[in-house]
Amino acid sequence: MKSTLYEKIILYIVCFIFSLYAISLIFPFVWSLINSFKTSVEFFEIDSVWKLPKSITFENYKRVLIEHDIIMMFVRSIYLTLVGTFLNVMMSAMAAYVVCKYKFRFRNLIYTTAITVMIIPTVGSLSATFKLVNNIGLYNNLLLYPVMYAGGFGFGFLLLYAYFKSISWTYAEAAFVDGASDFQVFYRVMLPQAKPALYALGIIQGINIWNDFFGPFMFIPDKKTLAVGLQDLVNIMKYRAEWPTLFAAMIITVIPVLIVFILFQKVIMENTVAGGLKG
Amino acid sequence: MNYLKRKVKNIKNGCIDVFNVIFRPSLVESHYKKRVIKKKVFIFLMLLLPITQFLIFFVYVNVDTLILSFKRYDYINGDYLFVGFENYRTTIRDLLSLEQFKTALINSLLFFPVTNFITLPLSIISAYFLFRKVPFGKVFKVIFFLPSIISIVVLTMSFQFMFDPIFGPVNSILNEIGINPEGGWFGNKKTVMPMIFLYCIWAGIGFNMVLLNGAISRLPKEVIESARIDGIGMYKELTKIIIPMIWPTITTLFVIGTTAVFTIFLQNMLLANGGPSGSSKTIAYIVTELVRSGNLTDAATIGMLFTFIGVPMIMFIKRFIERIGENVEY
Repeated sequence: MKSTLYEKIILYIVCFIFSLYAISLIFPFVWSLINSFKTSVEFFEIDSVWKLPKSITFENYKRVLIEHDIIMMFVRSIYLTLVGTFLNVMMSAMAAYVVCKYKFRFRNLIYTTAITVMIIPTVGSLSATFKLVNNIGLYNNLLLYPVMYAGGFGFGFLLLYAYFKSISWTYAEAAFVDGASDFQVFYRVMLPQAKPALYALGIIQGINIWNDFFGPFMFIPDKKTLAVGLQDLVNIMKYRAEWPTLFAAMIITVIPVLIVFILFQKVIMENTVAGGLKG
Repeated sequence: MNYLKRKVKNIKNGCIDVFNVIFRPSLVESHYKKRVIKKKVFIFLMLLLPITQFLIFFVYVNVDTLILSFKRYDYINGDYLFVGFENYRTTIRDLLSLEQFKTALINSLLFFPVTNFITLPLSIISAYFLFRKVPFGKVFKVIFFLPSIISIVVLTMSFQFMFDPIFGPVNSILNEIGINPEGGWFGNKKTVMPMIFLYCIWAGIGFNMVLLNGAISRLPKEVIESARIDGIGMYKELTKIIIPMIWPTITTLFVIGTTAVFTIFLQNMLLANGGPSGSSKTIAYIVTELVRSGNLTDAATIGMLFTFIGVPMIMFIKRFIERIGENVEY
């Protein structure tokens, strides 16, 4: 099991290359964070890009929060994330549970469809989706929009299907003998046991919805979420050259995700891997 | 106490069941039937919402795209009219003749080699070295996960900042050496696509590596260890043992990479707005532009054309890659 000297040298060279890549991933954020504390005037002084701020100012953060409607965007993003994630997890759990634990006629058909659907590119049907969204009054409708995230088949289905499969059926049988209904068994016996997978899926989907740019950009353009609003700010700031304000907005967008990631790092990483393998 | 009560109840129920089976078979049957019906109702109710959602947002939408591609909006009647293959005729003609379409087609196709022959191999090698316990491997693993959790808007933005012609730190370094494309890195026709590819590789390696490393770490340790006892080198270990064993994951990533040809446009939009003068557009980019401008029928036609080409192509590639795996296998 011991590495030879030659292999050790290679590992150290790789470590060096990895460090460069890691720095390239982190540096933009640290740089933006530092520069978000500068005033626009200071930012454009010669060589200021490489320097720490002379004095820390929260002016940029204040301005973003007050002038640019960021608070509303924040509220919308949180609303979409919470409701969308809840719907998605519930629908996935319902579909995955029944397909996994019950035998019925279309079971295999549903399972194969769920797997193949994942690899079909969806940009092709964008025009009809757009028409549908307009016709059923979803367009610019923040209240109804989370329905778009509610799909019960896909990543969530596969993740939960695999998890339900690993849960033994004996508890359910005992409950049935005690006279529990199918629904009670699902809600009281199986769901509590699947909690780890449900939380993991919730966190992963939550991050995805929080980050989603294209959906809200396309279907609720007047109700800007953080991701859409941030992209808008890029264009506004280009004219005004108020870059530090933009950095502040970017930091505000990233921080919630980073906090969730730091808290649930292990759960997120393990389950992304588990779900990514299928298909 | 509770446990005992339940036990007693179970025994009681069991006795009643036995009694029923022997003396009142018809009652058991009706009880059983009721149970079956209840079960069916339950299955139906549980699947009702997910399947309705799927039927509307997948099946209906795709069928409607097909229908839309045979129609055209008539401004006089204010309704869609059936025009047969007219849309297909004009779209194929435009694809072959218009400069803008040709550029978009080439740009889209270039994502195939970039994701599959640059990003994927680099990710495999990196995942292998993470597995071989590079110093600080655990820290790297967490950092490399960042592109998977941070919004594409933020990622593209920070990438742009680095190369900004006025204040970008990376740009200022390159400027010192004398590399300084006219109009900035994203404003120059020659550099804009390479920059987008660079972004995709930069963000893509992190994403793939996490999945690949997960696949490698789940492999049976005995096989790898016994090979190492035989004194196998790093290169052979990677190509002869690891890669064949994680081939299913590689296939999946290859397929995802191939679908990028048909779906990618956000990167181009966020990094360069499709510019300068349309030189960084892709096919999917044009589809979204058409939809946003209200031209649904042309968008549907292009979408359909590429679904007809794309889905069989992706299926074929999937089969092909799986085959290679079968032949390589030890």
